[in-house]
Amino acid sequence: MQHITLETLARLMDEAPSAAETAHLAGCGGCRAELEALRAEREALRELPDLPAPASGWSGVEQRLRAEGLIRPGSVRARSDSSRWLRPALQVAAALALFVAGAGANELWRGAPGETGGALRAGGGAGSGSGARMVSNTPASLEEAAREVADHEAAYLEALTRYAELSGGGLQVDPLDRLAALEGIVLTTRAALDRSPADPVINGYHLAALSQREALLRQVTRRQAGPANVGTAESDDPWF
Amino acid sequence: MTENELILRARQGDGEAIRRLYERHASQVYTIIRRLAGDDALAEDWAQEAWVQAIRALPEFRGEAQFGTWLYRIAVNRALQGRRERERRAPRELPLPDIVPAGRDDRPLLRVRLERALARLPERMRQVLLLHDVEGYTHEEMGEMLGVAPGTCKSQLFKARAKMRQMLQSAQPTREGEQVCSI
Repeated sequence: MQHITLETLARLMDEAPSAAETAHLAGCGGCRAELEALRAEREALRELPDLPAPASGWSGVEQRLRAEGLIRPGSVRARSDSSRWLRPALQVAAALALFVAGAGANELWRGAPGETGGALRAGGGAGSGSGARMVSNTPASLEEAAREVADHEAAYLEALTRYAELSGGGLQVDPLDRLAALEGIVLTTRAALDRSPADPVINGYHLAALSQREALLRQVTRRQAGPANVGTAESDDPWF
Repeated sequence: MTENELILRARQGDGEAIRRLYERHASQVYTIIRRLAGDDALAEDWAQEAWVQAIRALPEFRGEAQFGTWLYRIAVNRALQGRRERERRAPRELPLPDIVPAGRDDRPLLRVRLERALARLPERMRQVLLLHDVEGYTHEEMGEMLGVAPGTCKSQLFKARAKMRQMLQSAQPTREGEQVCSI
């Protein structure tokens, strides 16, 4: 049986099918399923959440408006820096709770061994027994401080994994819930980096969340799907 | 304070009223511009310009439509104008390859996959898909905004939907290559 093409099915999302198309759809479960999938994807697109505006967005707009005389002098209340950061900071703190818990749980939900948490462990290869390597003296340089952060993070994950094993998988986190949480962290830290692009702590969280998200996506792909769907996007044809 | 009160004050140069309007609509404006622009830096610039244009044009806002709708239209036009300016200056870039992780059709993963697939759509297709299926513009409105016939918008929309579906499908023989069903 030759099926209705995807493009024709896409048309049928808006237009009534012809008699022949109706007859085909009545007898072809595959085409009906594709049509439903197209509709579901459109609904999902409509439900995509808004992206956070850059943290520096208002200051740029305000500056331009003042330059054009569209804002009366003295008519904007000064706001403390902390009020701009409180909400995203709280969001990061809340999401980090799930992120850190899930980092340990990710070890239990095995994909490629050793793949997850790679970014956190990359600082010094301190994947195991790192407690003995933790530095107790104040770091004398930025490099030493970075190594100490990496060592502490690796030690924390090890301890968390041991705890999870002993507690019988009590830290199990649904990988898709974790993926959603990681997305939230990436968006929030990206907005925070707009304000403080050089902040090492925010950069660290952002990179760690990105790394975890990518590793988790790879695991989900391997565990739940067949071969990855690789296609080549063609150049868009000109309008005419 | 109601939005109408904010608009009235904003017209008089009240910076606080303008800021509050900004905070109410900033995410929506940025979202549509970002998805049309496909680039963070461009999106930030264009969003800023859209806001300035809107505040500049505030005396002309008559309240026949919702403020958000009116503002949104300015934002969309700014993004589309921005894309046209870029196309005139530089050759159109080829879109990235379609490597979208397949997986169970669950919401969080689907959202990630949708954003990625959207970013990978050829630009014209992305524009019509966003403007029609997400923002609800008609083919006639899109034709006016994009400078093409409504029928062209329609056919591009169907191609865009099919392309998205293709990118999001798990590995199965593509349906695009099959012959048109002889009906």
